[in-house]
Amino acid sequence: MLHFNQFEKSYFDHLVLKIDNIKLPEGIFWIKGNNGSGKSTLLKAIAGILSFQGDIAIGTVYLKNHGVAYRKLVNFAAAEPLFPEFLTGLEMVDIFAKAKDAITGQEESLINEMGMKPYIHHPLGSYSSGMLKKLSLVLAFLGKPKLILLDEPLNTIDIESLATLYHWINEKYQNEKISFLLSSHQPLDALKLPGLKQVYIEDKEIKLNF
Amino acid sequence: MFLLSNTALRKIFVDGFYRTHAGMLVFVFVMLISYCLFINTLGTVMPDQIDFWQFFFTISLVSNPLIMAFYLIASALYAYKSLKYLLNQLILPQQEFLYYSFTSTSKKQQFFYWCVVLAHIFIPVWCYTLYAIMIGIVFGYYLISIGILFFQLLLIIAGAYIILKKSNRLIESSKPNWLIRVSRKWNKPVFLLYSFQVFNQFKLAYLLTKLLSWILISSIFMLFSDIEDNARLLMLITSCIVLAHVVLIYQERIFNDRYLSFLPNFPFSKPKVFFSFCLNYLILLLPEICWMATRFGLITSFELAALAFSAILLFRSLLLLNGGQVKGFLIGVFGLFFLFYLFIMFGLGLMLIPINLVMAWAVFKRNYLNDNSFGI
Repeated sequence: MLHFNQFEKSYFDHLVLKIDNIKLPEGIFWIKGNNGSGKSTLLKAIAGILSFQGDIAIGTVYLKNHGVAYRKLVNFAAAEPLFPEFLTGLEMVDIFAKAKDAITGQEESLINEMGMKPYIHHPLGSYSSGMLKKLSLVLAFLGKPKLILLDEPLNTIDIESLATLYHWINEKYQNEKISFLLSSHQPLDALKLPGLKQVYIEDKEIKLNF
Repeated sequence: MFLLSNTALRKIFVDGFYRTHAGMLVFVFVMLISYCLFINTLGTVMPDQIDFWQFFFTISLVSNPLIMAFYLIASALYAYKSLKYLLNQLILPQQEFLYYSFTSTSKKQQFFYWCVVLAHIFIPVWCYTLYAIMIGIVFGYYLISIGILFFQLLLIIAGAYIILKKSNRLIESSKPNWLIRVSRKWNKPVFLLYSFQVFNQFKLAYLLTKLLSWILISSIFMLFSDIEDNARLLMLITSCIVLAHVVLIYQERIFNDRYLSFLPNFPFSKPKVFFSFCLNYLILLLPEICWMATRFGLITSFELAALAFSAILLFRSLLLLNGGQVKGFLIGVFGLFFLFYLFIMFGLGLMLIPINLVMAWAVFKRNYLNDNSFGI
């Protein structure tokens, strides 16, 4: 599903991460690693946000050669999302839905299930960090992705929303074969995410534990 | 705790102020004042006449109440700008810790430190004030000299008092401003979000930019009134208009990095990203474009607009080269402005349009996504 080809990421000539040639199969993966080990960097590189050496592909769609097609297949939710404060939650959803070719009505069910309907019309400047996090999760599920990257998805969200998130991940994986890469310091519940596989980032390399 | 707060205040507010307003300060204190006082003119003006006029401007400040009034208004505007910056910083989440650390010291100490912060921010103003005062004292204009100094001290004390009051008050939720209320039902394309941000958050910067743009247009008309080739004059004005907008161009980069960091994950082609953001400048430059269209006709104004947009695209691309550092950006901008000036004066102004576009695209294509300002 996800193919790394001679991947290298450096900041100012300082190597952060090196992945020679690894293919990740479809599945739900929990990326583990210490602070500063490069988890967020890895997710942002896969999302097509950060530059890197080498290439990454979803199936046969390569990021560097088929940038637009690739980005339709990969969605991303940041650890600490920041959006323009003058927009409302719904306007943000509309922007993402349009960009990611979401089918009509997809956003409505996501907003309802995440319990965001009462404040989705409010400006984002009035949102708490938990509300912004929930919005970023809704945005990550819009469209028809093959891979969803969630950076610290458990941060700041409440128990009900967490249950909804686990439900979405399982449903999307089982019904639509959408894969997930989740980076999290907090333990993910393997009972609620059956088939959860672990990936470690250690010594600037990734190690598969499955 | 006290010393720590002092260092923190200096780093957050003083350093932050100079970082954020580097562009504005370069314009106001280097370009305008230095040019007025120290530039050597061409032509038949004798050196002793130059000395006389330079001296005349400075002595007027401490001898002429009208000139002094203008200077005091400028100082008050600077104080307002500083105060607005400090108050905006205070409500940012990353500065929230001050509400439960710095505010536990005595109010007297807090007041003193806010005075110190404002005094540091006022350093560029102090420099010119002290220069004028020295001349004033030498020539016996004691009252106005002391008056200017007293007024500026008063501004600092008043500013420190306002900040002291605000920082010791409980934070209240702010009402959405008029733009948010009015534009709720408007469709907001992602490429035009920066325009909304300008009218929402950067209103003062926008107004100052328009003021500077107007001053530059008027100055060039006055300075180069003898140029017969009208096209050259208009192109020079256009490049000055773009130069006046560098602060907004720089702020766009900060806005995109901060609030639109998700954009590189969107399935947009590079040409689309490259050109679409220019639509913001169609809105921001609307007053100048309308002025050109009504005064110089459609074809000329189209050429000038093309020149302006090609220069804006180049300046935007320039920001990708050095990771958004202000200093490098300003050096690049002024270097390019000098080149524009040479091209225009040699009658090659129209050639700048394709050259700018090609250079801007080449830099953008190579560096978009290479500006890794994101954390690990």
